[in-house]
Amino acid sequence: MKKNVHVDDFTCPGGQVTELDPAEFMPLPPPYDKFEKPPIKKLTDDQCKRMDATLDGIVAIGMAPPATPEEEKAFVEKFLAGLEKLFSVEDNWTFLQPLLHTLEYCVKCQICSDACPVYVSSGRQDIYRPTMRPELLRRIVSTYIKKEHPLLRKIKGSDIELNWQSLARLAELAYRCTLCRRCAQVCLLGCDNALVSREIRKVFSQQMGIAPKEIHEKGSVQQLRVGSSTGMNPAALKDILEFAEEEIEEKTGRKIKIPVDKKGADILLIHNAGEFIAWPENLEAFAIILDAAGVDWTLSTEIAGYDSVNYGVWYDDFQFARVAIRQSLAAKSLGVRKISLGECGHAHKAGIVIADRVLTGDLIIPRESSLPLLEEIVMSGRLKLDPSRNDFPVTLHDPCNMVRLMGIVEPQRRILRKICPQFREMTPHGVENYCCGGGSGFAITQSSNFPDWRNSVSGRMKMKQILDAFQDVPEPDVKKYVCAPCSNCKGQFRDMFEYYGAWEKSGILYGGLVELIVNAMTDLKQPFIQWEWH
Amino acid sequence: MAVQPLGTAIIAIVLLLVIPLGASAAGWTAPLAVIIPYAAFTLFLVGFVRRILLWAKAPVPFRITTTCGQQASLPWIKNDPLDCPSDLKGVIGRMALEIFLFRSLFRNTEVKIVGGRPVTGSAKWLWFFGLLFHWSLLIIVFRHLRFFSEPIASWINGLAAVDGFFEIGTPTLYLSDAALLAGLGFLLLRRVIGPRLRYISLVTDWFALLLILGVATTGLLMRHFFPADLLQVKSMALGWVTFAPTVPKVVGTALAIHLCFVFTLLAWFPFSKLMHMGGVFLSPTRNLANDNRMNRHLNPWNGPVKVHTYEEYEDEFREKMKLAGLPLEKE
Repeated sequence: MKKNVHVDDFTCPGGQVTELDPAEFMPLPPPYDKFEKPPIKKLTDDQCKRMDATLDGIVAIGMAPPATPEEEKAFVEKFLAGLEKLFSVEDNWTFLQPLLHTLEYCVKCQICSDACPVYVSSGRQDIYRPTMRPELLRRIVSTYIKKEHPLLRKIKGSDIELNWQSLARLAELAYRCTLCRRCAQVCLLGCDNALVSREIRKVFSQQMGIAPKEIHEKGSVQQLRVGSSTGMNPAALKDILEFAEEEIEEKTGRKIKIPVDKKGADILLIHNAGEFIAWPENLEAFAIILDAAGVDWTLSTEIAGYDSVNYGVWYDDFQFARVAIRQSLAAKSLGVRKISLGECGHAHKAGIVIADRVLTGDLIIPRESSLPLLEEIVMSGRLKLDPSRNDFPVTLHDPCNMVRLMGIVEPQRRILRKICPQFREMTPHGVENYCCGGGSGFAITQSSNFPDWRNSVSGRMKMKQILDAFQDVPEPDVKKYVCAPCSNCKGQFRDMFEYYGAWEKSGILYGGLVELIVNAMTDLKQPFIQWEWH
Repeated sequence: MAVQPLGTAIIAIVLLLVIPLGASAAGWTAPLAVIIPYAAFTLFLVGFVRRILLWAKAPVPFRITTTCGQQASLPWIKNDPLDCPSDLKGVIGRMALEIFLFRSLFRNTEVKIVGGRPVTGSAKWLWFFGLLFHWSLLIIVFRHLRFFSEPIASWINGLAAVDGFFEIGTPTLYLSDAALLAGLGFLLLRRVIGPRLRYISLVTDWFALLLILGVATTGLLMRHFFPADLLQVKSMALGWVTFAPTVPKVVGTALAIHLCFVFTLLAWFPFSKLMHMGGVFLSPTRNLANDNRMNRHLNPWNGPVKVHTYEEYEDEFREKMKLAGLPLEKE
């Protein structure tokens, strides 16, 4: 029987609010049901002293406790000053209304809980309920912002005592939600609990400078300084592109010049910089397709102009605006007609849904997803494609930002239905998809035992879905392909498949959408997808 | 936890019950008939409007709708105008489906572990009873307009006639009353029976349900068991709306409790989660067109900004920069 979680558990120092028990986790299909590896590493005592892990034993941020009571007091005051700003129109015009709604009229019917993959996969740990964060925030607001009468708070049960410990737990808890917004989708009132996670992160980042270092220091800060969040500078990019051109020639016999900084091109294609480092075949495939289709396109080598990521959407409005402006500046200096975003989910949100409002004047260059462009190329018959070259089981993972936020559902499916004879859907899919488990920066967050949590809890539902999709062909010698048109999702699949040994046990490989298109091109001598990649 | 939420809510309800009980026993009914109605209604109106204005004043710069279908895209890709509207027409359709049929709640699923395997199934009970509850509450509120108008509009009589169509019992049992009780009963039992849901339910969750249940029960008692003097009730209600309140000679206990519950509900409403009644219309995850890819959403507050570009800066200080040996873009 699980222990009930109470708000007092968050405020009392020491201990752990919840102990995760792998035996309670949602079962996976065999042979993954007998998974011997200790699912989540325990932290050493020394680590526990340096990093706070008193929420659930997991560390995403790794906050160090304050040394003195004065420090602790200053910490709490700083947080409250930030929270005050969060609720003022002047300081927080970006997401104030949905935040107010979620806090003020959620009817707590709790149906969103079953929509949440983290909650369900973890064996229904109450701390992961989508409504948990808003409830904590609501109490903090009642006690410290609205300063309601103590007796009223007592009657309503909305009292909370803030100290360093409770805030450290709140900060960690904000990084247990992948911002997939399935909860918002089923909400009968349109409350957006994922947004609350994001706004809590925002207070910690914008006011206190607290964020996982992979997302901030080594993420958006590095992107603005060096050019990409991977640390790859423009010179390295040029090397990689040369290498990619050689590899294209080797694999396909085609001599393609990848256009770089071509002034006045029709389309500026911006990839997630992860592709250059980890999955060059993705950008190679893009180059092959766009070249064969005769599209007038280019890449940029300007700062942020070759890295579509904008981690700000996950945690910080300022970092978001800085990166969005740099990306648009890169497009402006080339004089392109529009920006096309490669296979990256959150870049779609950042670039297409949000960026309009931070761009001014001639920086407002249209931004579009590359998926409709690919669909148009594939369906128009401009490429000669032979589906039998893709005659292996393929399933499609939908990046949340593309489907649930934007409604880009059909283009990728139309492509797959045309070129993959063994294409099968996961259940559920499309707008009701489950997150890969690596959303909102989790896929790049490598601190301490966080990857274990991500692989065994937040990605668990996706793992199950993938295994279910291939349950008619479980043998490892039947090679299977999980098509994930998103760099972040691919990062999660890389880690998760390795963690579970999915290649050895089930022959499951992951990759992008363009690789499948190129693999089907009839005039290539050898298949483009090389199954040894895993 | 020191305070049991359900217990607290029950105590609050009992208090609300005892006050009018005592008042009517003491024959002290004037406040209930004259002052409190206006106070409660004013609180309701002012509080409601204020809250809506606060929400409406908060800017909504981003169209972060939750989409449930294919967005309008290339002409040959079939889009889903109701689940992912791209224009006002679609938004109105979507909102109408949300508000009249609780479409999102219809999507509700639950995950069960069956034979060691998680199975996602549909969960429509909450949708059904939630819809039943809300619609019957609306019909009941409309039916009550008969007390506030003279002559009674024909549509109110028509509504009552349809509602009591089956003519069960005397006086006729209204179907909406039964439906309201069924809906409320489900919402309440749902929280009581599931241990997980029970322990995370808050005082306000219980209080809202119990209060409405109290209103409904006393209303039904009055109609079927302790008939109130309808003429007196009507003259009192008409007195309120014509701003000439009268104190009825005798106020039955059931009526006193009924009124006390109703006024509490009115006064508490704007401060509670029940504000979803007004808020659902404003929900930016539902009431916006998902046209991010079709239109550019420029900031209305982007005023003309006076800029001094680097080129101009260099033109202005070229000679000085040259003298200082600073690098120049144009010589």
